Amino acid sequence: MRNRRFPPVSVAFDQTPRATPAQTHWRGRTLFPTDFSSADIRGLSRQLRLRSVFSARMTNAEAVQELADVVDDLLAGKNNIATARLRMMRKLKSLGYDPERGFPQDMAAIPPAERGSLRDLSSEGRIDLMLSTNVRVAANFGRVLAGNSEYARREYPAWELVRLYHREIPRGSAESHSAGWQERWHDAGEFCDWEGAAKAPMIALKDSPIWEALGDGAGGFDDTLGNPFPPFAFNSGMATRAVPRAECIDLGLIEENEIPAPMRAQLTPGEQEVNDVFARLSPDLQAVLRKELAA
Amino acid sequence: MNVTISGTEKLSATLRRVASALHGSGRMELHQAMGAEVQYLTEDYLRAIAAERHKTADSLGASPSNHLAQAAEKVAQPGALTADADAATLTINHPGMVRAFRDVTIRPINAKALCIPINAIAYNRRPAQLWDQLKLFIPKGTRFIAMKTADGKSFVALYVMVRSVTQSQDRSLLPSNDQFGEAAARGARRFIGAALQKGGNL
Repeated sequence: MRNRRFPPVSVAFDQTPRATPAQTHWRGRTLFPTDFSSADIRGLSRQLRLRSVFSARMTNAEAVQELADVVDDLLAGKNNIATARLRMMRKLKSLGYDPERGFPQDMAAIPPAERGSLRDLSSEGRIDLMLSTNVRVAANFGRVLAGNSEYARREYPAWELVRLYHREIPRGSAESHSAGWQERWHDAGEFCDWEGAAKAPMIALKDSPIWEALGDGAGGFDDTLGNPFPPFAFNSGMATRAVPRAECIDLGLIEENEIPAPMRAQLTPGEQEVNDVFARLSPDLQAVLRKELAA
Repeated sequence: MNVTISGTEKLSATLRRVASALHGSGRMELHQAMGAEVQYLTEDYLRAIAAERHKTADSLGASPSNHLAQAAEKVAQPGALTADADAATLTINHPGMVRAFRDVTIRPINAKALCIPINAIAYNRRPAQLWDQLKLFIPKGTRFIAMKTADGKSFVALYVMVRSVTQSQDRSLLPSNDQFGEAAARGARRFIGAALQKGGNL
């Protein structure tokens, strides 16, 4: 449905449903009910974690399936977090989950969790953490793919670590009693000798090893998720901003004529077309276009 | 919700001439570049307003829901953007973004009324989540969902029940059409410039 009040310009809105690769990626994951703790899960390979739907100590397959379905609806924009949270709470209740005893089939094999704590699968804090983490990982996994297109690597060669989500007590604040992201950035940078990365602001080329170091918790941080993209740590509100080429040149991360790898050696069909069109222009028009594009 | 970009009105006459002469692959790649810039613009725009727009949460003294921050991350994904020879389309699958292009009337689904939070405790929580925990009830003769005060003599209203809510269009939820047009032109310019540079013509 188009809004007729818009002037006749080249922008139009509609509501035809379309799936995104984040949803496709999410739907391709396998259910992984597990009695593993967070620390155990951290020891699994990144590829296994990115291909699975799981939550620490969530041993019940139906609960994991509900988590998968709820996250899918969130990615599709069909739900908000309040409705998604209520669905999970109701499902866990219907499956007989109790934080002190776990699921009925656990038979006391899972350590009891304090009611209302993050270890309590049915607590608001735990459910919000599960949902937001999975949605953000799916979204940012896709974003990294998008950021590696030839156009993106040429025009936006780097990411900047920035705050996106509001936090009452952000890491690094006095009340948090924890290291902030500037300190984590410094530790990650030292770990990889600042290859492709600036010390300040927190900007690094997309293929800089600092992103992996940040996700792996360089400096001894054990609250990270093991991914080279946001969220880098549990409950983190940090994200990345695509940094334009000019800024990267100003920071000295790339040279003015540097072409980021990997680049296709040959022209794409569309690029060939542009050059063919150019060849048919008059010399005067070619000169005008050269001047315009050099500006 | 989808934002479709086409046309080259914001380009210079010379660049428009080159763009208009493209067809098939050339036009598709042109639209990919235009769409990519629109995508970056939209992501940056949503990130900026996410940092400053917490009107409902602030009015209730509640923690923000980070609703717009979630939208910013969704719009940044690769297949949020599709392109073909006709246009580039940016898809934003996030509740509330439809309001950017029209008035929205919200009616309850599988319920008799919408429950609008009017207290910080209720913000970003469905009544069913709190019902047992806070012993919520509907005071007789009112349209509130409430909890009793500590002395049990009165109540604190947490939600008000309404049949529907109409939110007027808020075009400022997304960049303006002019901003979209300029971003698209930037993408077109960069695509053509890079193609000519690779082809040895610059």
